[in-house]
Amino acid sequence: MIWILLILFVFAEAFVQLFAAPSELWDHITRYVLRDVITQTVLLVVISSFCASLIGFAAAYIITVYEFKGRKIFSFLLYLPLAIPPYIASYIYSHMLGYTGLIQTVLRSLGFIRVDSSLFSYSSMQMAVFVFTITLYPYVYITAKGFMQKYLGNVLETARTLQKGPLQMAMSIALPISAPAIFAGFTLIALEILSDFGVVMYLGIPAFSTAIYRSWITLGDFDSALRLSAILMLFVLAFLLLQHQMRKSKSMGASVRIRPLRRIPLKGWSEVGIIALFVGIIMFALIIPVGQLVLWFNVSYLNIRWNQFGQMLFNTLTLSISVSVMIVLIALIIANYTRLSRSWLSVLSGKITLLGYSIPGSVVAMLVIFFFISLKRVIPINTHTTLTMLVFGLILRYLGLGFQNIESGMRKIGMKFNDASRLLGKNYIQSLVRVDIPMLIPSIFAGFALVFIDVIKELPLTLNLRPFNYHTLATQVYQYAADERVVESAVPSLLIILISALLLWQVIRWITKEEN
Amino acid sequence: MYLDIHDLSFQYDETRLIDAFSCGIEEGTITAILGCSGSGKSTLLRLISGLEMPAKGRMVLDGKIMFDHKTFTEAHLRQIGLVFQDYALFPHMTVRKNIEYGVRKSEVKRKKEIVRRLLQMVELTEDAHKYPSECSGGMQQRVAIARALANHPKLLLLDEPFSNLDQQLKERMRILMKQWFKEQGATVILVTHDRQDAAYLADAIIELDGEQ
Repeated sequence: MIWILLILFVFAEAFVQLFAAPSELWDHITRYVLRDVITQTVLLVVISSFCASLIGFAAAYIITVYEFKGRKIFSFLLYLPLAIPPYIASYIYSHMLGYTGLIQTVLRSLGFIRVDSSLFSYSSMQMAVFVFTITLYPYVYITAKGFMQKYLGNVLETARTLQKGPLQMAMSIALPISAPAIFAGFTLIALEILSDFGVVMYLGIPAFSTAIYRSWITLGDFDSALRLSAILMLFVLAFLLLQHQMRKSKSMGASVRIRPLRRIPLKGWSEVGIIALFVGIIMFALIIPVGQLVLWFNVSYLNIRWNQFGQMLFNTLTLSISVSVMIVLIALIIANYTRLSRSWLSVLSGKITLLGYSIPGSVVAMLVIFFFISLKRVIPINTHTTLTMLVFGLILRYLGLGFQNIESGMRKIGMKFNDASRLLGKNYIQSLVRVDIPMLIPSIFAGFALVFIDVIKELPLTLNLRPFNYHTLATQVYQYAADERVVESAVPSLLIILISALLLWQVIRWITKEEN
Repeated sequence: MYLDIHDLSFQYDETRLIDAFSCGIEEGTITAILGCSGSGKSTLLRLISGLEMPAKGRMVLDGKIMFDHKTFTEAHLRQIGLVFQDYALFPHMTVRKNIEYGVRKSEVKRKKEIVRRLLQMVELTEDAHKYPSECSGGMQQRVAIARALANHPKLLLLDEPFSNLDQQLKERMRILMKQWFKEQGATVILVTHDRQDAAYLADAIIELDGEQ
């Protein structure tokens, strides 16, 4: 309860700022910056989320409905781009397409002395859309695939008996039926893009997160940055309300009988075409970025100061593990409370934990600092950025992610095992520890792993709240990119991807087991 | 009376599911509560076991007040066993562990002996190492009954015990159950919608028709 009140208080601060007197700089921001920021952010979010959702839906549909060579391996590989932070993909592709990048260098070495550079030119917006599409489509792939495997069986077989073609089945049946799941994935993608800092900063796109950062760090106007954060939070809340309405009006699933789907075998050119499509997606989203990093690693590992690097790795792992463990514990307590209590307060508690996950890291960082400044008026504390502040901010930001996993696990097992245990003479706590928690281990681990992956990749919050001289793998990657030493970012980037991929692999195994 | 329920009422979301229900049950008897679906049979079992809190009424079991206008004994302190319709076996525990879980703290030294005897009674000694997912419906039901009996319940409640079994298995289980409960001297309440089950097993039948 205390934690819930704390979250509410921290977020309420930003809205209070909207009614305070604006600073001098605010006038400049509204006249020359805000319009551009809103337009570019909306464009980026809408186009990227749409493209990523399209790929995610198509991949989920084909993997669920058709049988072809390599289906199982593609089904697994399609999840993995989630392990690649979008900002690392943006550094890689921007560098690769440049004059000194891999593509133009190879073409020149092959004898194409006059390589037309215009072939490789791109706008920042195009690059950002491309990067977000290839790295974030797995969100829709996961939600849509899980949904389709459960609910498409009956309806698709009926459609086939009515002689509907593959495209018609996909567009007029699978798409509308899976709309709520696709929209859930779409929302996650949109929120990820809104909270991104690394990509838009590197590519110079005037988005909310960069505007907040510049107002705060470059121009030193904390009030205007907070005001921008409040406006962004209003956008996020409006978007979430819209999603809530759509979910309410589209609630289905329970009415459809669950039956496993018998896949349609693909043969000949259609099989070749589908395999080529998936190879293409995996190439751009996984093999090319990782391959480029391996090449860079080969030329840069000698420049690495390994003793500093060891400290950085230690910081990253201790921070990610401690935040993930704390989140899992808090989420367990809140999820158990919402399960046991049927009051509106318990429902609200669950929703409030999700607030942080819907709001960009840079905004959470500002709110945390503002909160600690307010707290200083009551108790004497250090308001310089500290590890406590960073951990608090990360918990605030990712609690929703851990909570969602554990709460959905608790919802699946329900109360019946706890009831059965209590009727055998064990109290609530004994029943929770001996019966519920062992059954919740996959959900707890999934919550832990997903939070860990996000914390290890996290950038804006860590950049703004870390103590002086405290570096993590992610901040080091950002630093190298900011210093135009992208090649040297290979080692920390590869480590982030490797650790994330290993955890993701375990989570995917559990997802697949549950889906089957 | 061993179990005395008086004027029991319960409502959920403005709907009155149980209205002024009263009954008395003797020790060592099997009582069947008959009723169609939606008549509140399962809710009644949840109220007796302490999983739900009644709006009003009084219940006394073996001379102890389980609930009245000022007392409410929590489910884990009532010593009432409930075999759920879907058995609710703990999926991460083997058959043996499920039954062991039911053994009371005070009898922990005799745990092995109690479990051995119960496994023998429900004819599952050979399958003690299996997980619930590896057991058939009939086996799962026998594990659930053995687990409930391991706790030496003062009262055993069975929620639609034959709804998940085929006809042949159902007839066999009916015979076995009656034999076990009589051997153990257990006081049992079972809810069912099947008159034949009620007539075969029960010493007394209560009909629940929505008006009680």
